[in-house]
Amino acid sequence: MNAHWLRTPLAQGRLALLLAVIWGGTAWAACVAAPPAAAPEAMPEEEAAPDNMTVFGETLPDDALPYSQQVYRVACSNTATQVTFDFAVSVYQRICSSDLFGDALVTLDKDFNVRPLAADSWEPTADGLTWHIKIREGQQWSDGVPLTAHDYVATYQLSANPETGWDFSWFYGFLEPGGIKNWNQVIAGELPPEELGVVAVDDYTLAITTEDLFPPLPGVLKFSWPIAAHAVAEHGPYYNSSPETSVSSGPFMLESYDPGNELVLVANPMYKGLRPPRIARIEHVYMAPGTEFLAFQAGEIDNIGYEVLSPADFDLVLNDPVMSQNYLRHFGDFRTDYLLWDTFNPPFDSLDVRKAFAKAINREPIVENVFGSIKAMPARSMLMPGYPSSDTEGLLDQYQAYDCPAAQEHLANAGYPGGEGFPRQEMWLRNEGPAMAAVFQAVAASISECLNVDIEVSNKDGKVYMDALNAKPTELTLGAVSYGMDFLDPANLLGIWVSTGRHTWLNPEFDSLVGEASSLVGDPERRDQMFRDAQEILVDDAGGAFIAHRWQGNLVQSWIQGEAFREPDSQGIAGFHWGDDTAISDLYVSNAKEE
Amino acid sequence: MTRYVTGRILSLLFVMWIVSMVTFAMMHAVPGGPFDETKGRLPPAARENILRKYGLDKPYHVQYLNYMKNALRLDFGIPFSNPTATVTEVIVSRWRVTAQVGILTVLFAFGGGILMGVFAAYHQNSLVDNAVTFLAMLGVVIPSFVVALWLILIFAVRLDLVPMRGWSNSGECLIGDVAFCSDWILPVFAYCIGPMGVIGRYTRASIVDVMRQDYTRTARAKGVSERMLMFRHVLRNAQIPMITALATEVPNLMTGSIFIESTFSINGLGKYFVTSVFNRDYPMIMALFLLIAFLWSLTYLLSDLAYTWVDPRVRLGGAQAA
Repeated sequence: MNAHWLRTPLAQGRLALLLAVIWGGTAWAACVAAPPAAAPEAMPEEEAAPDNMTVFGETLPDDALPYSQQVYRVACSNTATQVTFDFAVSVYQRICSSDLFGDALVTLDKDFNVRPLAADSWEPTADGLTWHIKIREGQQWSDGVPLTAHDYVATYQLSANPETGWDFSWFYGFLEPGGIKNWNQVIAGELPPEELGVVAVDDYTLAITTEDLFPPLPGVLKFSWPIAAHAVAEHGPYYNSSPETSVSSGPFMLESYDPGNELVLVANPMYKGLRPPRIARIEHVYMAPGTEFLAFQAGEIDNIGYEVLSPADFDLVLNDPVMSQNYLRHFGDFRTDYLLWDTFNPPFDSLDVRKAFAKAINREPIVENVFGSIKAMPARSMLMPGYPSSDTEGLLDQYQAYDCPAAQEHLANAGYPGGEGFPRQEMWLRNEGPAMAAVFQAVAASISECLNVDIEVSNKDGKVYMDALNAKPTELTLGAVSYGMDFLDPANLLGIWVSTGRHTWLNPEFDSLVGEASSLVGDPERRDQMFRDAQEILVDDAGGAFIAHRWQGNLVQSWIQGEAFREPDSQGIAGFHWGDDTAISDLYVSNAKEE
Repeated sequence: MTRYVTGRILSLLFVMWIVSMVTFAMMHAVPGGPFDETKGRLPPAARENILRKYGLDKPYHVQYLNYMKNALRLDFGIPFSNPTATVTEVIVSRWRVTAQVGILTVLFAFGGGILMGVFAAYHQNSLVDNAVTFLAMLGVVIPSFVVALWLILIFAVRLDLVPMRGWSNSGECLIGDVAFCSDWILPVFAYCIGPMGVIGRYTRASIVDVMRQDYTRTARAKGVSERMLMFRHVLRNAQIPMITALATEVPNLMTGSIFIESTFSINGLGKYFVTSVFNRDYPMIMALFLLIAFLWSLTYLLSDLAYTWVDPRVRLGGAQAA
């Protein structure tokens, strides 16, 4: 062998050509000039309007930055699938800040009371099956078209239309027997959407009829963010995805949207609702959840949720004098983490086995050391303290509190003394992140250690998990999961445990109590007691083993101010309360940002 | 040569056909469908309506044939997770950025890797060699997202020298006539660390091998200077393994990385390789796997052709060297 061939001009030329191709390609890729992003149009100048006044004529607080600098920057996940701005089209694949393009009929205040938003008032008819909702006149879309009851009718009809394939359509079916009239038949295509129990009596009166009495209905109207009927007719259900066709009846409207790259909302000067914003602009910064805390520290974003903070991040936050003062802990959606099991088949068809598992979970150290007490409190029942009908007094603790000797006794009674002969179990997790996976690992370890049973934790893909959970009969023997409320009523969080719900647990007395209480009107005390009794049955019969109630929270920059989330509620909790759509109107950027 | 290339192109089409069938079968075999929801299952009748709408109610072989019939016309359908665009539009719009990241990464990974390899080989078994080898191994074993987070923490958050996110268009940041955006630095550096280590190892091994050849020893005995020896004899003869490494790295780098793109907020194609599988977004999964198969086949074909360009002793299709 020799290297003479490379000395020939031909070979050297080919080598040079190859290198030139690589470098040329690189240069092309680097230098090919994509069309420069369109320069943002200049904001129309507010003639004679001082810079401490919003487009709605409200004067900003004394410590606020000028209106032109009222820019709120929040993160938006660049790995989540986001399809639409409209709740009526998709719930689980919504684009960030989607609920700012319209006002739901009602909102919740910081004490979780139902308050009017787009609606003025509501009242049931004498039979209690139909609710008449008066919509406040004078509200309008950003193109000047009035907002009417017909828009809300179109919203519900679009969601129920089988063509939409609404991913939340299980919800109104879940509300059975109090669901919206004809809901199940319409989504199945057996009746046309016009047959739905949602009609416009006149331009400003909406009538919603339910299949049975359903007192919590006003709270459920929290999910009624409207779509613009005229825009859907003209441009289809995705009209909001482009600034050219987007219209808003909410406090903000779309300025620009480049999916996965940029999303900018600006205050909607045509807004006539009850939550006019102080901020002029919301800029969504697309980033991976894992980098949100870094961006927050760099001052690039103003607010991050608790779910993106790792235990190490929390250490940093809580030891920092500024950040610790600006971590706002709140109830969130009253989420509870729990174990579920197939009680129709061995080994969990045995009450003793279920009780053994429930009593073998040493919740306090798990919450303290693994979950973090800033993020959770130990749970021994489904309803988090603070939620209606919850066990704030701890009367139910006796049923599932950690008691290893008692747990061992239950297991022995079930025929597995000392864990002998107990079949090896696989505990499924639903695509949990590392922090939650560690919590459930600790739960499994606590049970294994106490009962001498073998439990393998297996973190499954979300769809695989849900497929197994929802299969009839279930394909999930033992799993861990969390659930947060959809509306503030025990009928919601206890309703998922009735035998027609998602869990493989049946207790006729529980079913009867929850069913009756859900539709009970006129006797709130009795209703409350029935839900309390139902929860006691759930805990005593160990339908599940309850592990922790999650404290949720937001870390906000010190310059983000607003009484709605800085001032505590009646329970002393300051933060962004679930369901309070009005908090955005109170938020402003203070001049602390310049310091 | 023409016959050889024609044969390879035909085999490329065959590979893509096999890949399409395997991908189709596997994605339908995985539990969970595109319309199974997070909290509750759609009522059966509603679910059937949706499946009918997307043609998923038909037998699998009919679905496959329908898909392939459209794919041959370059119609890859509409992604379930992005109903306002076609699969082709999504891929084209995202791939431009991914390709820019990939090409810059290839450039720096190969530039840096070759330099490291040459340096280590030239100072074989010295402290320098050990240090370079250690660094190369470090680059290979540390995941790119860990490197990325550390780079962000140090250079963007603590030192505030470069942006922590984004990927500007080249036209937006020219230094003279050269496009150079500061937000390119961290992603490319984080992305090229791993391949750079691989290339460095390849280069070192092949150069060491060539340096032990008789003709190298002869050239040195004849008094050829060390620089001349390295550039005219050793490096040129060590090209073939480097081209092999190039062929294995380029398809990976050109299709993006979800870790790099999501960490640095680069709106590229990389995330779709993961999210489409999680979402059971069948049209997107099929298109992406066909794209990957095409790129791998094409890259291997080009690298085989490059062998003959770089080393005329190499003959394709079983032909013997003269």
